[in-house]
Amino acid sequence: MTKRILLLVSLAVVLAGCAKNQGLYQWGEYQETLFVVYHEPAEKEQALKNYLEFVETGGTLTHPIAPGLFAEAGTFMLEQGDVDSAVKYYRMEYDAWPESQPMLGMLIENLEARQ
Amino acid sequence: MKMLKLCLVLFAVTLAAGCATTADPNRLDAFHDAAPKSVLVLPPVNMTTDVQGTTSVLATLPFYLAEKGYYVFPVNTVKTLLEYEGYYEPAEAHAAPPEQLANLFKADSILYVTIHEWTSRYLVLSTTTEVDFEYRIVNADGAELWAARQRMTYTPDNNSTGNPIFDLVAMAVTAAMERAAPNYLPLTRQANALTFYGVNGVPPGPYSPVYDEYYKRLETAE
Repeated sequence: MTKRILLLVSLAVVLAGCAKNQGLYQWGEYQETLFVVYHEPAEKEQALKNYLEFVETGGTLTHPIAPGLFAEAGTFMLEQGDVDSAVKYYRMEYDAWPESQPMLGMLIENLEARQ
Repeated sequence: MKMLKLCLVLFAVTLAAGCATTADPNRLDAFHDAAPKSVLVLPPVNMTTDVQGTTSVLATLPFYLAEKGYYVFPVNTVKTLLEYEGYYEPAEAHAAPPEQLANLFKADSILYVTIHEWTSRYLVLSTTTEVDFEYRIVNADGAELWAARQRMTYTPDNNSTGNPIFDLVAMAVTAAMERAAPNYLPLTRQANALTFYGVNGVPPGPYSPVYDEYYKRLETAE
């Protein structure tokens, strides 16, 4: 019985998840995260942690993580002084979006030369 | 008095209808010729006194253009890199030669937004929030491809635009945003949605499922 309820609940969660994703991409809490980073320093640490967890999911085939969002994770890490993580996220953006390659290729090269 | 009001309404309707029908069918020619694949969104220039205007509007912009099918350069990464390059204020980046900025990021086009209004008027019984944005997309050489101006007002308890599609786009506002800017963000999103998805919006970008069909139809129309 409990199993059945669990199944129903997870089904509802899945369906709700689908309903939220009618566009091309997954955005997670992107706007909210930027807003917190800019205006709410007290909540910044938690918001960044949630944001990184979101981009780590990598999105799905039908709804990939929106363009730019891996690179933003990289920049958040760069601001924290974590160059290794920054490069890791910049590479994810680089691999996902050819349009980002001139900008990020240069950035990754410069960051690695600095290390 | 009633007559005067009626006349005013009729006048407004005529004006609105007039605008809709006189839209220049060739206004997107330059855009179609350039067919940009990527958009560099610069931090908006804020002409108001609200210090949160620039970053708040900046955060809302990528969603619309990316879902329209464009690669949108990561706005906070761009903002940070521009600061490293010495463009500390949005106005400095807006004043820089567009071809220089486009070349720095290898972007096909640049979106400039100016915030003309971002204010809340606290009246006796209600608060009216007003936003007024000017949008401009230029290609990598600086030639204008598309421009729009959007002014909207919002009074709580009357938060429907009258258009169910735009009401849907105005998503739920999360806690942190609500505390800081209760009325601005839904209004900003509606203004963006109306601007980019409305009758005078931007054409679909290369990641849009209707992109090929759209440009094919243009070719056959010529």
